[in-house]
Amino acid sequence: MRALGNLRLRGMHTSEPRATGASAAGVLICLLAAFPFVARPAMAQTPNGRNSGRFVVVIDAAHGGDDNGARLGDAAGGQQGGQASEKSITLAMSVRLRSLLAARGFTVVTTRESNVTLDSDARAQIANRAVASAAGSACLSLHASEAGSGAHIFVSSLAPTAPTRFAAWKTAQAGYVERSTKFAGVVNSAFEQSGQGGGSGPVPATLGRASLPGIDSMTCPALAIEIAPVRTANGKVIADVTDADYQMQVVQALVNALVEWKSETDGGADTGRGASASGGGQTP
Amino acid sequence: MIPRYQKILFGVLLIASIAMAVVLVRLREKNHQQMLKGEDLAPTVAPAVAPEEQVTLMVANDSDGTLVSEAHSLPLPKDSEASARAILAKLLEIYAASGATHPVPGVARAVQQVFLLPAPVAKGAPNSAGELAVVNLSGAFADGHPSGILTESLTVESICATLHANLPNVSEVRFLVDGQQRPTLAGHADLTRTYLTAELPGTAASEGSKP
Ligand SMILES: [Zn+2]
Repeated sequence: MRALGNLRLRGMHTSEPRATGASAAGVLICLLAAFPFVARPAMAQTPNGRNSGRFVVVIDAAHGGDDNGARLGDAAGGQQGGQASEKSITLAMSVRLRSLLAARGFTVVTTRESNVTLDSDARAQIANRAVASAAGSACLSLHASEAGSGAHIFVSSLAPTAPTRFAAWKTAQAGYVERSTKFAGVVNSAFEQSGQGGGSGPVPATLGRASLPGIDSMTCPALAIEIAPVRTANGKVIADVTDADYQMQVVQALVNALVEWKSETDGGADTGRGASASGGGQTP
Repeated sequence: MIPRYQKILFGVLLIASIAMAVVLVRLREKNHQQMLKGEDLAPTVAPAVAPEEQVTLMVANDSDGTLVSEAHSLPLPKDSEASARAILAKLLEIYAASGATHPVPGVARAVQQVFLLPAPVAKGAPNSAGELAVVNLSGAFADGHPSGILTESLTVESICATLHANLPNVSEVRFLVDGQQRPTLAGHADLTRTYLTAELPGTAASEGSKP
């Protein structure tokens, strides 16, 4: 199956990009439908691509609809912000993050804007379509939990591989694991520097790897960010995940991380994929 | 005057009823003794008799997302599948204790069974001597597990790492819940995949021996 994919791809690649008409696109769609493979962004580049040459941020508010996620707000005995479901907290943070990033000139795509059910494949499809012709990208899946302390940053546990022309759908992230790990380092230092001047102190962050079906299929530097209550050494909750100020501190740290990641990407590391450098974003 | 034949009949019936009473009492005593013997042989008593052995538990810590190796001594059954189950039961007992570094509510028989099978050999790969451990968790344990990427991943990783630490032949681990495949533990950790013990993250320094 892999050999067939490569063979067809080579045929596609030799044709003139401008001659890639409806029939060729049809063949590609059929190929994608027939095999669980995903095309690399460079292949999907089209002259009329909406995000062509831009830096694109994909925000995935995890859970939604029938899937409530974790029940939150009990860590501090419901003292801070009351009880809430994970799906509503991730959506609220997604909306805040989107508006702050849009204000800074980022092209932002969200997987959901309301309380709808989406499976992990649908989320990855939205992300992969959005970053298909982008010059640089970052994908964030937002979660919240009562367990642990501070922000948990997760990179896919897939073994890193060199990016291939066609990657198996379930392991498409493997070619991006190295860049995702770099991006995780940028997010981690943004958390370390967060809360300065606000008096609340930085958000403690831990880095980890996990098997995450949505992230594992994404063709972008992708992370899952899980926020948990901030606790003291003896386990006392300082800030619960339902606390709006704490959520804002996390969102602000993510904005700073994305500004930094975009400037690193613009610096040349991520521009060798055929598209021109970013024109969409503004660096502060 | 009572006829003679009636006297004889009465005597015979009296003797018969006494004999039946004696037999009944005997049978009851015999049954009671058999029941006591059966209780002595019940498997629940056996582990207490088994000698204590040193085991290594890879205990999760939610505050920094690490696994810490701890030595414990446990009475272990001889059978390796039953022994793997006993080791995992001890690990989950630690998580259920108050003040645990990785709190997970305890349930009775959280690990229903552990099956050890020869690991399937991938095409083109050299014959692996590894074993596949299939851990069958109880539905009540999965339903009561806290929801979150960190907490669920740590439970899965600590089970895999603990199995590998005590049964080094275990190279792959799969999970079932009530004997069925389940998509995730509590909404996050993928239970449909095979976990490879070689891919487990590094662990923190070990602590001293604990009873
Ligand atoms: Zn979640």
